[in-house]
Amino acid sequence: MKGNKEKKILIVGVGNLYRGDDAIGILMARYFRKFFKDSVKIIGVDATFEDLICDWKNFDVVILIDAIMGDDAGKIYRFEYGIDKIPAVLKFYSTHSFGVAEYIELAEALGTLPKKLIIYGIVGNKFDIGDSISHRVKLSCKNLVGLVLEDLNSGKFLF
Amino acid sequence: MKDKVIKVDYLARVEGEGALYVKVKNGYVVDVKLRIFEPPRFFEAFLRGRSFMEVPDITARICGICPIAYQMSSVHAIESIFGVKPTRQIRELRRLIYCGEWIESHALHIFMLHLPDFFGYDDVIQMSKQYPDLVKKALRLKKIGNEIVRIIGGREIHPINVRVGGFYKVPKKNDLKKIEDDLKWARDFCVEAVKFLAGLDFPDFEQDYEFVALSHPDEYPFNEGRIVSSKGLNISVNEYDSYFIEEHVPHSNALHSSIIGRGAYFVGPLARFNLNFDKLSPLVKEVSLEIDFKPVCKNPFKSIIARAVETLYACDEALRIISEYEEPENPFVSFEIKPGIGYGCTEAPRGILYHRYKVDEKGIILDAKIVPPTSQNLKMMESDLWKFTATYLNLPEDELTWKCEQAIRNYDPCISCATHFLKLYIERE
Repeated sequence: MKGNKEKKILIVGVGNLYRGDDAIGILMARYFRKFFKDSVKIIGVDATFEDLICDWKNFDVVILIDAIMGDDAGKIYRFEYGIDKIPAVLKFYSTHSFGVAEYIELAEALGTLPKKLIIYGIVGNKFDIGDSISHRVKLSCKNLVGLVLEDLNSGKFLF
Repeated sequence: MKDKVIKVDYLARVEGEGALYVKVKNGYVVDVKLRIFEPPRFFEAFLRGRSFMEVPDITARICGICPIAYQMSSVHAIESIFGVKPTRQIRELRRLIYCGEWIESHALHIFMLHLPDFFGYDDVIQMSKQYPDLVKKALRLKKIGNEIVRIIGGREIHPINVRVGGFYKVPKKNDLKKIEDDLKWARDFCVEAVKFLAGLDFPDFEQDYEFVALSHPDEYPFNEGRIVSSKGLNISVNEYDSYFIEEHVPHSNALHSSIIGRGAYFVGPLARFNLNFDKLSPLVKEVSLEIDFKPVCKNPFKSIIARAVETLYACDEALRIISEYEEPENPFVSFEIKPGIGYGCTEAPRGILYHRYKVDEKGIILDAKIVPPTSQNLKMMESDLWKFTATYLNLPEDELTWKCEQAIRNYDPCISCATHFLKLYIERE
């Protein structure tokens, strides 16, 4: 991560390890933790999003990875907050009454958003307790790693 | 309008999934159903055949908001079989981690889920545009509660450090000292919040409730005590099954609890406050009396005040425990495994949580029974809806529907726990 030491970067994996494709955000965060060691802060979030939206304003770049509901399992969507509009048909999966999209809206209302927020959503279709991760979701993980590295290495964030 | 149906297909700002249906015919309420359709999760069944050591970690998975309650009720139940007597310091740490859970759970419900009702906002996002500082402070308060759970429990959600006999590892005095300043801020904020919440407009509504809570001779109840009620019940925890019954109703995947021969009862912060006011700390009593909030309060809409009073108490109690804390020599007490049946009942944020386990000579679970607080309040919530709808039938449809949802949120229902959830239908014929 040449030159990115000046930037405070946070990768957030969101999900629930016990609900099939919803685990993908947490599992990707664990992978990136090994990959980046201490150069990038990595956290997994299941139900403590309230804490996260207090803290992430201290970061220059936050990359959030979560499962989203949709028909095309494995497809990866990339949204940059403030630039891209999240298509209405895509909902971030949440077993609670608040999903990721609502927490982002709350952070915006409170003025606690990070300088840059990138959201990767992997489309999943198996979200019941005890489900395994869909084959097509597993296959898309490699592509996601490449996309995140491309983000971090690109000139977009002045690394 | 004499006949109507009020339907809320998906009740928001509750934990879990459910719906409400109210039918009014010729100006009278003829049917109220709190439909709980979240599928049951069979925790009691898959505990059978597991070691007693796994029980606190498995039951913690029942709820992401109140895992400590499940851990505490389970360890107390199992310890009652083995004759385990935790040391004073372990007991104090258990109270402290429970303080953390009450702070985070109550803060979430008061400010994120319930307060928007009183201001007429759809949700906390709308409310935060008008009251950003209040919401920021509420989030900070919740975070402080989570931090206590993290320090003692190993992580905020589904902690992993609680075991039968005590803890796997205990915190150093300095680990706890680090959160003292935050807790002092939290205590000051809670004093402000209690006074602020007392000034809200509350619907004029009361019922002749039977409040049920734990009662301990020396302390505001978390982990121990007898089960008492405002109508004279006073039993030990192991007598629970002789006085309380769970029944299946066709419209709910969560069982409904009642007191045998008496019916619905009310558990949670308002019940605890009404039955244990004298055990609150001097500061908390002083603040409560200053706003003229004292027992017996029978208005369930004022549960939000009771919840804030308890949050203040949890901050005050946490500070007391931290100031007196000395690291125990051993993180847990030793014991011998014995066969038998054990009973545990502790005060989850939403009310009493009862566990019963039968274990064999190797400590394998043969049978388990878990009665979460939301199951115990479901019958009372339906009772409130019968009376509330009848009293306020002339309100405009949308306002009545809103108030009905609010009446349910008074109880901070955790449907995921109870199924073991919420959507509202009011039908007028």
